[in-house]
Amino acid sequence: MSETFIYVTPIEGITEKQLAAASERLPQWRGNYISGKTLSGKTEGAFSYLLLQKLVSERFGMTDTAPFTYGKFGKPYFSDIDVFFSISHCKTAVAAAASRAEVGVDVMDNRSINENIAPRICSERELAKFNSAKDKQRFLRELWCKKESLVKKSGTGFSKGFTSADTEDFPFYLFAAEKYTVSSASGTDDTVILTEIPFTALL
Amino acid sequence: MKIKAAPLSFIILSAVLLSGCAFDENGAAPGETESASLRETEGIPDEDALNGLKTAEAEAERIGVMLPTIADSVSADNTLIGWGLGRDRDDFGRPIDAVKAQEKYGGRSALFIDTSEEKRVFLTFDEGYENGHTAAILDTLKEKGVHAAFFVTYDYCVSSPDLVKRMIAEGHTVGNHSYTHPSFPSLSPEETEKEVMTLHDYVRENFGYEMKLFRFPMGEFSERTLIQMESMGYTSVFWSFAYKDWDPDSQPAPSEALKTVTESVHSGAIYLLHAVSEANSKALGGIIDRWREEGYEIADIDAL
Repeated sequence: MSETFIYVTPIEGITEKQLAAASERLPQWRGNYISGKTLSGKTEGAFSYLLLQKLVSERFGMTDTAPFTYGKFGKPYFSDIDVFFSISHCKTAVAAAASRAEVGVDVMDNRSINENIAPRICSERELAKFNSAKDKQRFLRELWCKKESLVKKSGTGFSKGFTSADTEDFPFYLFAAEKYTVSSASGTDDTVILTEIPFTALL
Repeated sequence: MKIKAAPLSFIILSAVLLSGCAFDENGAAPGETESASLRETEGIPDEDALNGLKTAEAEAERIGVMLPTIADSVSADNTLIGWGLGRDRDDFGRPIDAVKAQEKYGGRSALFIDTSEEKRVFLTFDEGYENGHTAAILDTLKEKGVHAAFFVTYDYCVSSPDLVKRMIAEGHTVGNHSYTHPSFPSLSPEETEKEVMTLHDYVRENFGYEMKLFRFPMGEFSERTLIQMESMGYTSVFWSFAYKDWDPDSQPAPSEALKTVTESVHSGAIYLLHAVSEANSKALGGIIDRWREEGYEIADIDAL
């Protein structure tokens, strides 16, 4: 049993000046990483990294987050320390999760989904739940967010198709804000602690 | 099919179609200096596309689903294709262009013609604005026991909600004809999503109806927009017959409309008629009777 920490930061309304201040705080490799991106890509890339830095510093006492190394499927890891992490970003928020065990986090904007795609992504059990769900939009959004966090934790999730990666088989931590939804997949017995951090705390 | 010049063509490499939430634009990992070609080959994802998402992405493409945090990795051509039909017909009397387009794009949830060779036709109407003939068209369809598809714009839904309600109540299919009727290949992926989903949400909220058929304004599409439509849960419906019926100031005589529409009949035909046409409205009953006399069933496009 271990603890999983999630930090979430809403990033709407960040000015170019604030983005410049945040970029100043990035190590050079991270600065290079976001330099070719669009304005929103830069914002997401800068603030998600600063959020991760704050998280592992406050919760795991890490002072250095040297360039990540990458696993077989592209999952990033810290080089020398036994702390696993996951970061995610969308237009309205960035999220970071860290734990002593493998963890996957996903944040997505609360946007509309065509409900006709449900049969293409749901397992039989999920489809039964979808059909009886009162708020079908919310159900699909959360289902997708869960599935995404699941494959970010483990590389085998979708190998047999979306419909066979059954969220009913795994525990998730879900947080639904007004503009975004966060899901994290971690160990069965993990305690999950989510903290919302204003972006001003990262400047 | 006419392929116009390609000023709008661009390639999406790992572009994020529905949000900024996944792979980054060039797939480069931080601090790495290898050549661009290597990066493209290896497709190293960024941190929001972690372990296993490569397989998720492949799966998304295979089943044509792109949910809000899945990136579209396909390199799709955005060359504008203006759908139109030549006169050539195959041995079954079907427009060759439609059969070929069905072969080429059918795998992307697109319908140009039903190639099952069943003796049936499908009726579809485009509704850009209401010109006073839709109620009569609905009366005729009801009297003849025929279901059609009506492709509506946002303006149409706002100005004629009672007719939209009637379409749904009487078992017709209501399809998405976009929010403002633009040429889709000129739109960014974000704008494309907005054009489709704004109307989608409006129809869901106001009529409790979840649309699944889409018709491109002016029939102007591209491979990229076709793929994006599929990813948003839509089947794109084109046509294997259309004629100049859309100008209220230049309407054919109803007898002429009857002749034009019925003599072109073929197995699996998808008919595009404009509901602003007085001639269509007056000739519709006769058209349906003539089709039936010739042994054609007028089938529900939902069956496809």
